Amino acid sequence: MTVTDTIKVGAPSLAAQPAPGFHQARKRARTGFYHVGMTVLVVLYILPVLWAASMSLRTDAHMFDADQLIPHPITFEHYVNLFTILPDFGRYVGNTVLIAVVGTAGTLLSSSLAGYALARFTFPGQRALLMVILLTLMVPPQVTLIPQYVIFRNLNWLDTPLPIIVPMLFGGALPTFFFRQFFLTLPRELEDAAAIDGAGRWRTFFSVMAPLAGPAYLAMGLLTFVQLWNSFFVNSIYLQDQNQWVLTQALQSLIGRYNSQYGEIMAGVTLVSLPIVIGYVFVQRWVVRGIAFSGMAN
Amino acid sequence: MRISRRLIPICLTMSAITAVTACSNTAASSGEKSNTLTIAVWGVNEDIDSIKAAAKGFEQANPGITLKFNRTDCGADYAVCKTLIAGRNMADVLVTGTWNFNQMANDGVLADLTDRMAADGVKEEDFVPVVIQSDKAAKDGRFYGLPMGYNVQSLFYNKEMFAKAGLKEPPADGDYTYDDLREWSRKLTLDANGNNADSPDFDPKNVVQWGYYNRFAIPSEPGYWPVLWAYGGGVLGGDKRDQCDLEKPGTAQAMQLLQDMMWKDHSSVTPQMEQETPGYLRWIQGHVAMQQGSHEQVTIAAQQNPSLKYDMAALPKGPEGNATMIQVHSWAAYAKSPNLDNAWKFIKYMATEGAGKQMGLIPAYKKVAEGPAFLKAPGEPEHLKEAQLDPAAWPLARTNIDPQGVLATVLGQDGLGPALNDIITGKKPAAEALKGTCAKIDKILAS
Amino acid sequence: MGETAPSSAQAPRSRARRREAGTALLFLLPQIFGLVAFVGVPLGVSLYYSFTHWDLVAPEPTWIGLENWTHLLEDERVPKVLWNTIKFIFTGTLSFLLMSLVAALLTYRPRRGVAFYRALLFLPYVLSQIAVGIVWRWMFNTESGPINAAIELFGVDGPQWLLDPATAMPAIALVTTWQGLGYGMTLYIASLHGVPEALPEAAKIDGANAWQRFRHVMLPMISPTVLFLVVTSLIGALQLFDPVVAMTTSGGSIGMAGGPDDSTRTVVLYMYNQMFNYNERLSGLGYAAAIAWVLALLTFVLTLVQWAFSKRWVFYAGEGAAKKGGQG
Repeated sequence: MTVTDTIKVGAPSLAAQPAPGFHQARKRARTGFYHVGMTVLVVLYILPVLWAASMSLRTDAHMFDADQLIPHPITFEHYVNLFTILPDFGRYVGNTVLIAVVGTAGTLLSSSLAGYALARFTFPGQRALLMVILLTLMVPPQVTLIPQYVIFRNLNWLDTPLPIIVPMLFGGALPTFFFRQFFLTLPRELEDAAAIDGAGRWRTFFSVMAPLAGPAYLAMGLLTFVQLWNSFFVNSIYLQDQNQWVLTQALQSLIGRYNSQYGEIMAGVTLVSLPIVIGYVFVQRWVVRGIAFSGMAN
Repeated sequence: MRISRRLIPICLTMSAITAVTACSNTAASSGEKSNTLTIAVWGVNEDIDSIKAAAKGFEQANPGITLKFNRTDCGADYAVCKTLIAGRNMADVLVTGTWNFNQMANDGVLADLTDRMAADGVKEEDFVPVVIQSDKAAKDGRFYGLPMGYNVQSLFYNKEMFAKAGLKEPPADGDYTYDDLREWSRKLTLDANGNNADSPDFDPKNVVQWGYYNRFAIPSEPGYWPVLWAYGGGVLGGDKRDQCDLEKPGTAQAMQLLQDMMWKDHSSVTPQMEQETPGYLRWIQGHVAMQQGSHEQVTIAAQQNPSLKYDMAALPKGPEGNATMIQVHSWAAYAKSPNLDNAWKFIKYMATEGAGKQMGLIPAYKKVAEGPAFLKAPGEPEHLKEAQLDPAAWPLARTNIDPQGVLATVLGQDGLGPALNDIITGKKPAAEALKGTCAKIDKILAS
Repeated sequence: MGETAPSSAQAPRSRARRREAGTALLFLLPQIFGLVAFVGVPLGVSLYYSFTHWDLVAPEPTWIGLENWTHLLEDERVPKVLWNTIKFIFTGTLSFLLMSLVAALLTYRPRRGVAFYRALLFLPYVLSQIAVGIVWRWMFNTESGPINAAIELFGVDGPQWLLDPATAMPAIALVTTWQGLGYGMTLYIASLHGVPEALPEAAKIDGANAWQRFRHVMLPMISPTVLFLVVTSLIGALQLFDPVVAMTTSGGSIGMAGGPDDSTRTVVLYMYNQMFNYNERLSGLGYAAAIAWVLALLTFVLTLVQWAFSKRWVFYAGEGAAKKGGQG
């Protein structure tokens, strides 16, 4: 029950009771069309991904053959080979998980606080502050790279994940902007009610507003996690010690000037993407169930 | 508001600390002298392993020095080095390539090794001549690096295909011409019905075996330069590579030959085909008869298709003679490193005693290169020596150095790029596409 | 912009205002600290660089005043790369905004199996950039690539995609939309879930059809998210860099990316070239910083314009007064 309570109040309910007879049949036909259509669409859409997975299972001789999606002969040698070439794979996973989890958690906290302040408080320079925050997104990161590098070098944080994690702990411009937009859509009545009950701003935020922003946290958290999981350029600058490598760097090391080990690369890519997709499915099912459940409770 | 009273001072202090450290300028050089030698290495995992294996000998002989290997693209990509230098975190030792060696030397990034060489008795004559020349900076002729090794462009060919077509294998010493190559290529291109490209029934839409692959099909690779040089052309010519050779007749002839092989004869791998499956992979998988490549093809073949029956020959003759391209990787030291003495010890070792198959290259140190350990190693093709070692002595064996530091612009979108694209896609004949390119290149050279 | 305390406020009212500002500050403190320390300082330094010349190897930058800026005005490559970037906006950004909305609308309602549809549509966003480059270069190939194969079923010859200057940028736009759809869809869905079901239900009862329900109920309710996506995707499009490098560099250095025939070289790619690859008189971090700041100013102006327009079509349910549509 607590799980569904944290989902936004008034979430959409499932379709109303189907009318008997003709309407029921028409509804079923429409659902059928929907599922068939969606399946076709989705399968076509992820064709490139299926092809990448297919490459991971092909022998080198057939790596680029166009006439087969399911490879024959099938081989798992690239998966095995991957761990021979990269014996420290487990360590890279650990490094990546650390950065992704801590970075996401920190960003969600700081950005939601900031976004809420920008949405709900009134203070001088509010609009200007939002514009300044957005401005920081507008300068291409390549030119701020060198000064940032100097800062982190002076702090002695090179070859550690700190240059990547710590800035995220203080929030990011994009998530803050998103949370601001989101909080602006929530009705003020809830906060007024909490204020009447005597709750201060902090308590209001943590016990009322944040729980309501469940979908926003979920969405932003997911996207931030994926961005950190897949980030390469920044990591390659700060993590030169191979023990500190993340998975993207490990995969990149399979690409050479003259030859790339496509099978192993795709095997690595599949392994790296899989946990997120599986996690996403579970999270979505939880969300769907939660929404449907609370809808029915209405 | 108890929270705020505690938080504000903390936050202010943190801001202050950060501001101070951010602005503090470590005016001194990037580090202090230490017994740890930082070495920037790049390449795939096997490359790194080969370097570390070679370095073991040094570690045993020098227990007081700790080696720290940093994996970064610095050395292959000058841009990454610049980031490290600007961030004052540059390694002590790095691996440069001929394509950016001169730029780094010109900019003062590399340490001058000439005097140290003289003091330790490391002589120019100990190395393959054309290779060690590339370690002399164009600006002053002094040594700024020592060779790790080099690779040479040769012809790789499929023995079975030649036999089936009734052709004699190419002379290993390069005593054949590009016209011969073109003729063979046509005979070795087969459509689904077994007709070769000379036959009137040849179906260019149904080719199953191609005769030739040259990295001309990927515009960003300079693999086609040997062909240009063999015809007396080139991109940038002269000792200082400051003359535009694009509008010499030889350049157009050579590019026209390559274009015709792709689009007239249909015997050579096209850019479209390259996108589908890289040309070198097609050769490895046994769908292409001949390719121009260097030694890494041996390793790739051993990995991916050990049953391939192939051999090597030196590249063919053009009107100006046999030409080939040599690419060198060199060990160098960062000029501002505080550990130059140790860096020099390491470089000297890796270039002489430790020379071998580092990064899969041919060692330039004569004592090792001419020894049996390299030449007769198992898995090496029969004519390795004629195809890879002897050509280093050719007059037209040139390295891909870039003394003016303009190659990126010259080959890019502001220079030759668009014209090259027109040629390799068969849109324009070579001579027409090349008209006016030297005006652009001269502008680049002047700026 | 912003509000100021009224001069004739009663004492408790202005104290309350100050308390509010103080609390706001605390909420914002982490963000502000992070911005100043890790972003603001580097930004300021980069602005300083734009008045200097620095090839990154010399120990210090050299002050040259406005030279970078004047050179920028006469550099004929700048309008060209700007135009390339704008071409991308009209193809890539537009299709991203529309397609992810469509995807969200198709999958936001809770139904059996919808979790899988969402996950699979999200999958391309999760795929490593390395694989995206390899796979899509293969997808676009004209020999046996599936896209051209499908096109040829209609009897037409497929385009040359990445090899043709006219179609290279649209090809890149296609790939970025394909990848970004998962991102946009996720945010739209979060926003759609924020719409109380009662609203469209009421409209349905009033006789509105599906399109009208969407246009006058759902769209205004999610308009804050739409604004977010429009603003941020435009900022991102103006800085397009990674996909171009992934699709147009083949083994060579980034200095040679941006083809064919200069058709995909974006502003940031040109900036990168000037920063690292080129050796012209003014090449280096200084000139790159000038380019970066011009781009930033352009983006800022564009964003302000969007912001001004947004008052007309964005509806914030929590702010009280309704504009178009909405029921509050």
